[in-house]
Amino acid sequence: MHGPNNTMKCLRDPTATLHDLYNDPNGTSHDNFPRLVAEHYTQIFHTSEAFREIPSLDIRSPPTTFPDRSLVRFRAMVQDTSPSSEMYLARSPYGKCGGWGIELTEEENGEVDYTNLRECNVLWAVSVPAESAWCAEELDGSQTRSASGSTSAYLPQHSHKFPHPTLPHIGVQVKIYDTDSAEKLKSTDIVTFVGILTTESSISLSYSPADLLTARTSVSSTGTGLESRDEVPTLHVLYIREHTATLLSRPYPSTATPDADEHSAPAKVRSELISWMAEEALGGDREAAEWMLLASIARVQSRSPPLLPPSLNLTHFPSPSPTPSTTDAPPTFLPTLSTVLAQILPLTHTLPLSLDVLNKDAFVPESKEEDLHAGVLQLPQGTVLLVTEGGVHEGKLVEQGILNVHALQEVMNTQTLAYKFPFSQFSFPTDISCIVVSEGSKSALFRTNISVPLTAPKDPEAIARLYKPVEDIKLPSAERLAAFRDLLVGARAGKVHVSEETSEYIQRDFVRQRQQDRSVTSDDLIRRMSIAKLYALSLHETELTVDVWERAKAFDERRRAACASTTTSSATV
Amino acid sequence: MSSPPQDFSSSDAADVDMQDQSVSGAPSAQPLFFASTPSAAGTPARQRVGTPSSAPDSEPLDFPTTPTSSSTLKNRRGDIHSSLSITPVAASRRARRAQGLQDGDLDSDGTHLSMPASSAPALSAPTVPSDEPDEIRAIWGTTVNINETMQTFRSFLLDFKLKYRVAYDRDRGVRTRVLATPEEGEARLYVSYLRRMRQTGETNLNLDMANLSAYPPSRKLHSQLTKYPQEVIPAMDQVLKDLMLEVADQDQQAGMAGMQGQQGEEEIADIMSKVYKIRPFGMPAINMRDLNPTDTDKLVCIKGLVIRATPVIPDMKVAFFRCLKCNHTVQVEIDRGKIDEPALCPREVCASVGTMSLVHNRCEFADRQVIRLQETPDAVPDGQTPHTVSLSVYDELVDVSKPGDRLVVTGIFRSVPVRVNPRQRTIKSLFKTFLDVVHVRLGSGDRLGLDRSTRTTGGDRVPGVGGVGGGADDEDEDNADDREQGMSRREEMEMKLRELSQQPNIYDLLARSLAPSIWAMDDVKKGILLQLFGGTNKSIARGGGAGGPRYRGDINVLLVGDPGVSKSQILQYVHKIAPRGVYTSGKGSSAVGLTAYVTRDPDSKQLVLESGALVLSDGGVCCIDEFDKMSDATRSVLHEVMEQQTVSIAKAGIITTLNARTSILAAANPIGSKYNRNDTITKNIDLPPTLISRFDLLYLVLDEVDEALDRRLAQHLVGLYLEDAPETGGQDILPLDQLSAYITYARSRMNPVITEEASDELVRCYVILRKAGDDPRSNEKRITATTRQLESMIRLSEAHARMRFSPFVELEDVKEAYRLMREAINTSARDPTTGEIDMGLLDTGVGRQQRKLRGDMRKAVLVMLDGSAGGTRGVRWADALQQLESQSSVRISSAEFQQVIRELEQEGLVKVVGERERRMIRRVEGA
Repeated sequence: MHGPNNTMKCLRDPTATLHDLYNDPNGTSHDNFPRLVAEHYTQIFHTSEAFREIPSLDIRSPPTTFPDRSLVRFRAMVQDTSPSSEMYLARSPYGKCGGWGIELTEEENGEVDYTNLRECNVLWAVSVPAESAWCAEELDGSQTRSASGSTSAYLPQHSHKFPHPTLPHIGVQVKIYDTDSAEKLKSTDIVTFVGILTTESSISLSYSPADLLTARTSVSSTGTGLESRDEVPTLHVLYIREHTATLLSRPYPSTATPDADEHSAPAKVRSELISWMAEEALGGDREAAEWMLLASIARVQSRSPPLLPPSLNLTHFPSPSPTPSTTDAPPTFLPTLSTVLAQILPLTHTLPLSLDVLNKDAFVPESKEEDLHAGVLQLPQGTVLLVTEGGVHEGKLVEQGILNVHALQEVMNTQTLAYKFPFSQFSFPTDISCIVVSEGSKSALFRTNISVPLTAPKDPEAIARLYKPVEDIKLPSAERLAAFRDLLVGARAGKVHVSEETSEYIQRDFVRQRQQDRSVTSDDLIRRMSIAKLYALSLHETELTVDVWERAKAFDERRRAACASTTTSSATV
Repeated sequence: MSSPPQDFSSSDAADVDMQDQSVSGAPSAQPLFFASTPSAAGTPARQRVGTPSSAPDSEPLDFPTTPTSSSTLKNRRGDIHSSLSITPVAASRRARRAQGLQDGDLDSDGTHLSMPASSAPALSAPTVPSDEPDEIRAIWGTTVNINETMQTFRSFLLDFKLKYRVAYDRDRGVRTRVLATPEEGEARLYVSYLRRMRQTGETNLNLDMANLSAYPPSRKLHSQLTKYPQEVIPAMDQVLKDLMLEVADQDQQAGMAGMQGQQGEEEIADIMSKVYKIRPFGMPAINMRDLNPTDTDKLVCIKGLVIRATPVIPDMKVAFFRCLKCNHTVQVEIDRGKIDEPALCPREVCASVGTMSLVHNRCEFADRQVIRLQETPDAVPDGQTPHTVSLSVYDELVDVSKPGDRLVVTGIFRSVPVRVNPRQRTIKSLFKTFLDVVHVRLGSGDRLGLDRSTRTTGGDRVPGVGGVGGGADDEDEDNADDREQGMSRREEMEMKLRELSQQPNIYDLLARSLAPSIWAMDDVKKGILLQLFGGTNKSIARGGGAGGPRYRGDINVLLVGDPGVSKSQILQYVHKIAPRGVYTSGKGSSAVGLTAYVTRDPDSKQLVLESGALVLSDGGVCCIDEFDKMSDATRSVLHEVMEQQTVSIAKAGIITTLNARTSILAAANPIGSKYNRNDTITKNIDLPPTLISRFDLLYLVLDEVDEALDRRLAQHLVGLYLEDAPETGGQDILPLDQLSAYITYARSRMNPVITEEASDELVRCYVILRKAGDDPRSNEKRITATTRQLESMIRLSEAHARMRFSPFVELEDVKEAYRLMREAINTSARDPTTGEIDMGLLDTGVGRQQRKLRGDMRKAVLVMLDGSAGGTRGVRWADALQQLESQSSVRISSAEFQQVIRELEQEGLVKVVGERERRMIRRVEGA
């Protein structure tokens, strides 16, 4: 019954199909019509081909390029769930279907049958921040609608609700009629909404006195009413499609068996990936590249007890030297590392810190005038955040700055972000792996779990290479790049088992070490264990073996030795 | 909805005509004033803002008035938009009474009661005897008979007795108040409230809806009120007014004080002119997320936090129009939020078009305020942002709450269609929702708590008499909601907790449950556990409130130790468990963050005081991590907090003292990141001794190497970090919520008293501690224990007794307190040079050994100067130091030497001349 015809009809005129469904004699019950709608449309667009047929709402095709009441899909991050839910008339007096922005003509007497009122949830969703281009492409499909020249001129409304307001993005008011599924959505969740796009005033987003209660006579003027509210793109959701935690899904462990194809064995891919990262972004430092790899596959494994991604500090990373040749370059230089990460990770964002950014930008979402303004750190779960301290110079950190530093430190320490509401704060769980890049022997602003010194040549030319523009990056072949991505995305979702034998070994190891060296503490054990686990993940191993443990330990020891040597050498200088 | 007969006068008309007595003193009007004027009986003169109470004087009194033909003037309550009009039940009876009045005291009564000629239609009212069977009025679409409802409510008000509530509560298994005397249970509660209302001039009666259910005949009123508040509340208002008059009448006849003769008449007239309001409350509060369309126009109760409130909005209730031509006046009442301006003069002889103009000062306004109520953090589901709802509050409830308050509101849920474009007839089938509030209760004692000090006293009282009604005490009122919701569960919990407290190993069990993921550190956990229970605060009640002298019962604990010994983790745990835990990091918090700061509210442009961590944790535990990294300014605040338990603020013109009755749990790192065992604790941490001495317990948490311990630690950690589904150890521990409940229960219910035996033991232990300072070899005493330690011991013993749920502090409590103290002193106050305990180390930062050394040095210096080496020129600084060095068996630090010389100089015994290397020390002659 759900043939291609049906699909086509849904695509052409979703409102009509909605009415058809409502009037469908078979579906007698309207008790939970929204649920029925969700099931119906999920069924229709079940196959990925059909799903791809739905035009995608994104930066390339912003809301203005769609006719009113088109069917669109919108992969978005839930930004704000605080707008109060709305009531709508689910059934007009003539028995027609209500909701989904369908207009009803008002009755003469204005009488409303309140038993037909239903609730719909309203929230604000934005295009996924920190999403890398290749990930977007993979999810959107290659179907790119003819890019009209005007798209670049699209100015999103309510840009304060996007974590990075200066970047191109889309913000849409979302109305969800199936309230059960709406309840599940939380801030920073990523889902794809499929629904009917219209333009509506954002009644729920901002507050107005209950003006309809105020007596209006010819003399008493009506102050702020609803008419002053601006219109925003609104998506009336038919159904919601969820994504996996990693947004993309890749097998773990990698399906390629080591002996079948030497070329695609995880260990081989891993080593190539490290070489490529080291070569392109880290001045040839393979150790640093390997740490970078581990940090970017770390994730929150458990909150109680806290097994959080370790924060990494890449020290001795030179600041960009102001070379005269690049006069018209932007004032803040992004290390090439930022671009490299974006090539291989689905979700990554670079936060170039400077005093100005720290003192002026809001890192933490804050509710002002009952509108939740986004903060820089309102990022989807699974984002790798690259923080560069190269732009920080001497100066004063004002209160906002201190709070911002504190917020980011809190994310690193506890993976929670406290949103500010009037008279209260609400802590939201985050899953952001932080990599701090700093010039000195340790980060000026943050305490991290692990710090790794970059051992790369420090001559101006080499420094310039660390900040080379995108065009100069040598991309590996498409096939290799895909293998890199598979490795990382797979590892992010992977699981490692620890055998009895290994854990016994680790315990003995710790006790022995402590007897040799008093300075070894339980913190060291904890750090080593989390590193070993990541090490195993990066190799797509299913079990943490004694071998991997030893390798990881040696790897960590090398880092500690390097740290010690660089700090002493810099101290003597 | 029955369409009302043309029988009620507008109260405005009455208002006008009250001054009009001489014109219309017609005795025939007598019976109508109460019986027939339904809810509208209130004159606007009683309303607070913008009421034209004085207006009549300025207006000609003889305007012909036309009440609007379409509607009766309805109840003037802003919160109720009822279309129902009520015929009072007690008409005949009261008519009789009024008749009597007429006869007896025509002048005084008549003046107030008489109705004007222009409101003549009203006269027909009393002729409709409401108790006639054919007059049955029902709420539209239901079988609810309004007359019956009124009758029932009347009997409820008259006959409700406390004993019903007690029995009802007992049936539901709710903890109920024990009545002092059987008579108390027999007292007619609401009748006494009515009297009190008359005496105080109060017009609001708060009605605990649980009482409706408790009184058997009125049981169904509860559901009627919930389902049809718009109809039932006005009916109840009417009954209330009728009864007010009746009771006043009875009292007058009984010759009660203040109700005799003229005075009584005036009282009655006063009652007549008022609008009486029933304000129901006491429903179980629901989450605002659960409000749904089926609640529309029903009575609901929600909790929340006020985040903003508009200024008072004058809400026009009745518009007053006057014809410019013939001066004919018309009143138009608000109808569905609109006022229809008459297009032409209704007087037939005039009928001019467009001559009606609004006379502002004759219009009637009501106060209205829109409040935005946000969900409280505890009500928000995990990972969700809080929702908000709009509240409309009216009349007396305006300005009762301020932003930041926690409220429990009872109100009618409304949905109003939204017209996206006001000029179009299409609506997007969208509805706006809000609450018309009928009752507000300010929350108290909650986590965020109401900061009384920011309020003027008396100004924020929720209006109305009979707040509690049910004979429950104040504490019960606070718990009203808990009481409603799953009382049995609470009971069960209480039972369980009591059972737990009887376990012999409860102390160990609780300590183990405190931070299960942290290995060992048993004594530290026990100390913190007792801190959570806290000692009893003394003389808080007798001392005369916040200002009175008060001995703190809060126990402060400081953890000092090597990095990586999970100090922060312990703090995090405590923060989660403590009833009002606040966690802050010394590094991140400025003085402002810890105390309170003054900001300007963006909406009201008023200065408001926002509380910081310390004030927020009033009555709880404030956990401060990185205590040593705190700025000096912040630390100085703590001096006050830890002993005085207050925070003083003088900022932006606001000078105030806020209560911060908080226990402090702090963690600090040693100066050199590793603890130096050869130094005293004050040298190891960068904190002033004055502050350190304010901690009852100071624990050194040091990292020791021990194979067996290490092995178990490793096992613990490996299990925690490498397993896929980590568990917090299979040990027998209490879950977090139970532990928290246990502590909260003990804190709120247990106030142990020290027994004779325990006090003897306290004295004995104190003497032992002090004696430990005696050193037979030296005449100088080490200070081992000070009165501070005695106080600490008392607090700890009390906390221990609380932990056992014991009403008395007994011997074992003191023994354990002494043990904990000794352990803590052992680790923290041991002088590293002598190995002896010396509290002076903590109190002054200078240990006995050091003091002795200084004394010796001092003597040596004086001897040296007096001796031959001195002469009149004195001794060179460096030489003196060298000489002393050669004499002494221990190394003399130059800092010590400098200190000694400075002291001598201050005493005027020596004099130092010259600069730097050429400094000379001279003996002052004759000194």
